[in-house]
Amino acid sequence: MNYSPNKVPARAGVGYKPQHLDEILAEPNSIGWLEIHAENYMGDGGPQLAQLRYLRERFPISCHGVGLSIGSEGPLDKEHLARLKKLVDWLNPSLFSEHLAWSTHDIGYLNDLLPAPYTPQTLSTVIDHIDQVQEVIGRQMLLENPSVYVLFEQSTMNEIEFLNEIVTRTGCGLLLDVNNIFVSTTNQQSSAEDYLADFPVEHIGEVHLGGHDAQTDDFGDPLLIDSHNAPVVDPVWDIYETLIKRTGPLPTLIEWDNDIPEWPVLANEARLADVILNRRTKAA
Amino acid sequence: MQSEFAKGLLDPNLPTPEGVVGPGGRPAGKRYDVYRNNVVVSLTEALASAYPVIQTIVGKEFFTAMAGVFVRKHPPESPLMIYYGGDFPKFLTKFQPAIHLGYLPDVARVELARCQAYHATDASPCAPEKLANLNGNKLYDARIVLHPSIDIVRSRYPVFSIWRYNSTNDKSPIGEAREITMISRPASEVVMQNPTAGAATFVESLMTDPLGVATDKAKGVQPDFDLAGNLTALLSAGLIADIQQREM
Repeated sequence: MNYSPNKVPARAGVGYKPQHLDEILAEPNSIGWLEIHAENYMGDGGPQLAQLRYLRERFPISCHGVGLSIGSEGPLDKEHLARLKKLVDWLNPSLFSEHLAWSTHDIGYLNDLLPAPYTPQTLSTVIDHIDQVQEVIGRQMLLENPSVYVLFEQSTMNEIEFLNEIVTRTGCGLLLDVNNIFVSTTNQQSSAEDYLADFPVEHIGEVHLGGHDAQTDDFGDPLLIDSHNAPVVDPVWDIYETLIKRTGPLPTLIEWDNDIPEWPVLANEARLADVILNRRTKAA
Repeated sequence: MQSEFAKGLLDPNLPTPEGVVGPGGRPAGKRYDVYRNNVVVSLTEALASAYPVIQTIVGKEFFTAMAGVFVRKHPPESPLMIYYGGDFPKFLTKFQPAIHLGYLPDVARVELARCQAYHATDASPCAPEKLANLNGNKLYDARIVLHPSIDIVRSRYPVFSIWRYNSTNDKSPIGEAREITMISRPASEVVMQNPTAGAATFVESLMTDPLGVATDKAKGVQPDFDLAGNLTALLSAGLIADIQQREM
């Protein structure tokens, strides 16, 4: 099949939800690209795959995996990796990303992005897994920084050191989720500005923006939860603007996966990201 | 490490895993519970989206409590959440708090078949001429290749009517008689039908037998079974993917 995709542009895109299809097609220029969750398109057939077949000819597509469990202590699920390869070979997405997290264990697939301690042992496993993914899929993957709620006493390096090692040793790129920076640093009572200042921004291939839920922990301190069910908050827009001033425009995704809003609300979030991207384009 | 972390997610009685802490090394408490909650809530939502009629029948509160038991006992075996919940109909046959709703497992089987039909392999309908060209001797040995999405659920309850009442605007009264439900997805929508005993036997038999055998079996359960009418109906519904003549 000679299908060649369009490159994801350095402007705003959205996570594709079937309920928005008609409106997206009615105003296709309101967004630059779409991202899909790989696992939703691993059925044998049906309307979801048919929609994707249609969309990929009209929009640049980014393929975002949520189920590979790259941070697992055990081996990667070869069957799942083969399904991912089949999808990526067919879809030929312009970007492909996965998470620094694990979700599969002997007891089953837990459907959440679970954290791992930052130790030499985790590092070596993650590097092996990314090497394996890139070899099987036959392209570079972007690794996303996680939202975390806990810390591990076992950790011997910080997240930035951990990501730097991974990038150096696997040649993968990074997907920087700015909301995740805000959620994790708030939860860890550390500085988002410091995190961003140290982040190896030259390896970023894509940015995520999304909303979170604010709760408190047992001590009354803020406990933010990466819920993807709300607009992007102002402090996250501020970190994003700082990032874009430094890097120049990057493909930026609005993620809204729960309590999915009407299209105009989502389109407006994308427009706000485009405003920041355009400001930087003009300044450059 | 991950073994302890994972087990605790499905068992609220287990302590926070060793080494998992909050800022400054203080106890993680609610922070670990965020993961516990994420796992159970996201799996419950996945189950609810596959089984909306079960949720309507038992109510959201009951469904959520029941799902809490199910998801801890049967976490997904693969990351394909579009297929999660295959064990749910069987689970319902043994779930004591709902055991008085004897029809519930069969309603769940219908909903599971809908999910599977939705994601089943696509197939284009075969050209009507292929049916017209069948004649006499060829007829008995011909193979009718059905659309891959077709499934039949037999129940001793009026499950088709229960499903229809709870998921469409058709509020026809629900009778007492047993019902058969045929589920398919010839194009983009899942289609629900209530075939006669003969029609259901015919379709089930066609999945493995040649046309003649399927016809005999259908007539066995329903002497007035109308072969031409049933074939035409399947064909016009887009449910016949191919008709293959036996090689001579």
